[in-house]
Amino acid sequence: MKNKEDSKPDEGCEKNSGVSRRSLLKVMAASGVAAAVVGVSGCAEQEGTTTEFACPYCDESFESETELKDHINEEHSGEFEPPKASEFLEVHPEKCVGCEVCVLACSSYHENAGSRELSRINVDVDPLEPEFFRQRVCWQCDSPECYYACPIEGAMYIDEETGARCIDSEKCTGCGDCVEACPFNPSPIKMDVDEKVAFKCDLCKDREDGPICVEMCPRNAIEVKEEWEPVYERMDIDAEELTGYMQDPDRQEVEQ
Amino acid sequence: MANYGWNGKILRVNLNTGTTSEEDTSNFEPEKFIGGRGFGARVAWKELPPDVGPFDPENRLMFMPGPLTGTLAPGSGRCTVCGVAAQNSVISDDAEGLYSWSGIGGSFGTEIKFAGYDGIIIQGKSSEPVYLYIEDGNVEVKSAEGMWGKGTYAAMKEIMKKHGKETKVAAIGPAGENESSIAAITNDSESAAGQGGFGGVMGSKKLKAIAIKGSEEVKVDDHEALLSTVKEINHEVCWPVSTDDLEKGYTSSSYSVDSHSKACTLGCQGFCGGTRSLNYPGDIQYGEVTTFSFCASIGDYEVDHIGNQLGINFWDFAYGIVPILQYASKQDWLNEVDGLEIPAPEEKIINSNYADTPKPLLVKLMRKLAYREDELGDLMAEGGVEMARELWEEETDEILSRIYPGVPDYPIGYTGHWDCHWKHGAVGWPHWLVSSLIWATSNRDPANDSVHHFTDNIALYPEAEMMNGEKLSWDKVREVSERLYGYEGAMDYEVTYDPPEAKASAAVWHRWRGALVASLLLCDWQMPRVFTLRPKDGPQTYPQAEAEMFSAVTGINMSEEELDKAGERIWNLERAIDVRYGRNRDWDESIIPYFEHPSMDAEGEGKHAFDAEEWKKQLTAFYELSGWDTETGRPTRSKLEELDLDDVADQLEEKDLLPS
Ligand code: SF4
Ligand code: SF4
Repeated sequence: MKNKEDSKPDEGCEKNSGVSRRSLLKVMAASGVAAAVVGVSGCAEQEGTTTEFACPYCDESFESETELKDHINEEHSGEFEPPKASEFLEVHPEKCVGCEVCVLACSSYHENAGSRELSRINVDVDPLEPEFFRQRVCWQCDSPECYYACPIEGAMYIDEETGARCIDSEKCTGCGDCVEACPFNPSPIKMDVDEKVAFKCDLCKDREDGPICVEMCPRNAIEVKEEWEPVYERMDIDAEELTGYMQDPDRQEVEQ
Repeated sequence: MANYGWNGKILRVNLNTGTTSEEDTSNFEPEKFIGGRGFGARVAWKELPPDVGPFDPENRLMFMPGPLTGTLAPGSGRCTVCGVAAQNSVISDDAEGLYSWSGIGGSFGTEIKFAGYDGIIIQGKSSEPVYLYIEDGNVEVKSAEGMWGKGTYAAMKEIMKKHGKETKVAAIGPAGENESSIAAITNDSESAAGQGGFGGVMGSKKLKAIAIKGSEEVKVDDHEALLSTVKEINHEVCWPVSTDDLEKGYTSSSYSVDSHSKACTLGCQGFCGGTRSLNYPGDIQYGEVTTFSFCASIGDYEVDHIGNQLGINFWDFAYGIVPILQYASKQDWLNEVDGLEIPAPEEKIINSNYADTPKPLLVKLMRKLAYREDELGDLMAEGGVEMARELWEEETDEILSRIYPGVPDYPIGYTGHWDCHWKHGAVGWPHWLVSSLIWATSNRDPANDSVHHFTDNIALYPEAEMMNGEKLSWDKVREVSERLYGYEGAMDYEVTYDPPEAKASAAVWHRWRGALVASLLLCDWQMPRVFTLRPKDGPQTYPQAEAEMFSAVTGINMSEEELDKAGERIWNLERAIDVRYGRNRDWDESIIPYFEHPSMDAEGEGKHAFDAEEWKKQLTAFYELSGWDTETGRPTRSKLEELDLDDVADQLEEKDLLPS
């Protein structure tokens, strides 16, 4: 997996100024809270010690995210459509036993390998901290920052049928911007070291019987949900807890 | 050698010199001996003659996963620990221990595979405390100074702090360091190799811990085929569950709703309930019920954690030492320990009295044992049989023979456990006749090797509800019995001693299959699938699952029969090792006194007296079905040659141990 230090988020933000930031803020304007929670990482420009929030649709910039949002809502509303909401996988922690069958099943199906690294779903346990028990899979966010962050036309796309946020491995150049943009850490998007391609959960959209993890789980702990709920509701925690729940301390900037 | 399943190399560490080397897995004949218990027996046959004692530097401490370890097969993440076991009481004048093995769950077995190895063999003895650090193909022997004397969790934490949180550690506690015969090797906070006393073996080598970090994967030849077999097993009902559970979506484990046991290892379904409970009822937080007492119903979480950290084998402590002390109190031989009173139950002394023993006393005893404090501690550290005999001599034979099969002649030092005749696990007459034959021929407590396979299944499946709502009838049970063992009567509750082959056939089949499962390596509770509740044409059983998974993973196509041959080979090699220690029919029959005590059947009180003469006919049938000499109970040349073990036959013959 790509190293965080290598991905230089600030540079990415500048480089992609047009496309990625523009699309992110579109949806922020359209869907309010959830987008704000999911964050604006990579879009805040650091200038000395002050953070500026630049509007992607005109030349103005603001001191806070809220001001920027108000501005977009007032000046640029109605200009954009958010992408289709997606189905998503819900792992029920109260049923999951942490056997990792889903993990190896996923990499077996997608990569012909039984590997945690190459899996799109992971279960983390800490043998000496039993309370630490966490299932990690892409939430197929309503405002998918990975998708907005992608600088290559068509390298990330929305599956028509399921809505899954997908990566086209032919087009992907492995820049890692999507990994960086996803507010979760570790990100459910991974980098294939050899092929220099990013990969993520696509809900097994091409598989007739649906996601393989759902089929293989011995406890029926994974479910395909169609109805969208805000991410923090899916996770059954407060919105405020969201970042703390899944993120490393070094990603705290998202919470600002 | 095929590139799938096995990684191709086995690590050998010599602690005398601190040097390490790698051996080609193909030298271990993987197609014949598979891995796990099979590799362990093969090494033991070649390198561990009976005069090697458990604490001799020459003893080998082996950690052997199998070709399926690290895949998504059921409970594949487990591993076997093999070597001359310390737990056995003195066998004869020239043998201080008996070769044996122990299973361990947790993350350790998987990590051995992910680090690129198919096993680790440790020999020699370090002069200073050390630990082994393995990272992908790099191995270092490092100083364990500062760690020695600490509990297992503390050692793990220290190592994880140094080498990263993702490091997997197997460690010993003070009990192991002090060469207790009943010390465990602990992995994670919930898994341990308890039986066999391999913690003491590790301690005698001055090896505090083994830490591993691996980033490779186990290569699988045919992922699709593996997924399809595992899917069928995983959606099978393991241990019939209540309708309530089923409605909530729990397809497996009778423990699911209440205790929600966590998986002990890769591919495990939390099936046996032996690991942490994620939502244990009451004021205990999840994670606090550990494997030391196996499940919350037996022990107490605080006591469990202390036992885990001291690194003690729970089984001998709780089911051996504690009941013996209670008996001693009843007899007024010993009423208190350091001012703490030992309860003397009114009722019969049974091993489950452990649960009612006051906590402070248990903790006091465990500390004494682990640190060999005073005479009692020192003797407890040698295990229940030795302790009782040292302190109260023959007077204890009465209680010992109720606890330890083999007393007084061949007490190999393992308390009865799911033999189902006495207290632990009530299956009822006459099913425990199968367990008794397995016990008779075992080099350890055989519960996890083959007794569970039979007893749990026969206890839980007949008349259980199948997935189509019908009951699994006794007719169907007999069909399964016929398909697996060749005898309908093996599982028939109306068939007792006649014909003798009926129960013996099941015992033999499970011995072979048990050896195979512990070599592949799969969870010995989940496999074999004796019954399936998914309606099927033909018998309601899925015994070919192991062969399907083995073929899918390794790319070597073996039928169920061919793979069972490997199981039989491994089992016969273990028997040949036993024969080198003098094992014979007498030794096998030494379990008779234990089984002669009135049985406690499912209703609680026993009325079925054991008929020793009839039982001996069954043992003869067991030998015949095994292709062994019925007089000595030893494998014959023709059997050994049939199993490609010609060299084993030659060597036994040289020592005059081959039946004529
Ligand atoms: S397969 Fe199911 S029970 Fe096992 S880790 Fe995945 S979600 Fe949990
Ligand atoms: S990869 Fe991250 S940002 Fe993208 S949809 Fe999944 S959870 Fe959301």
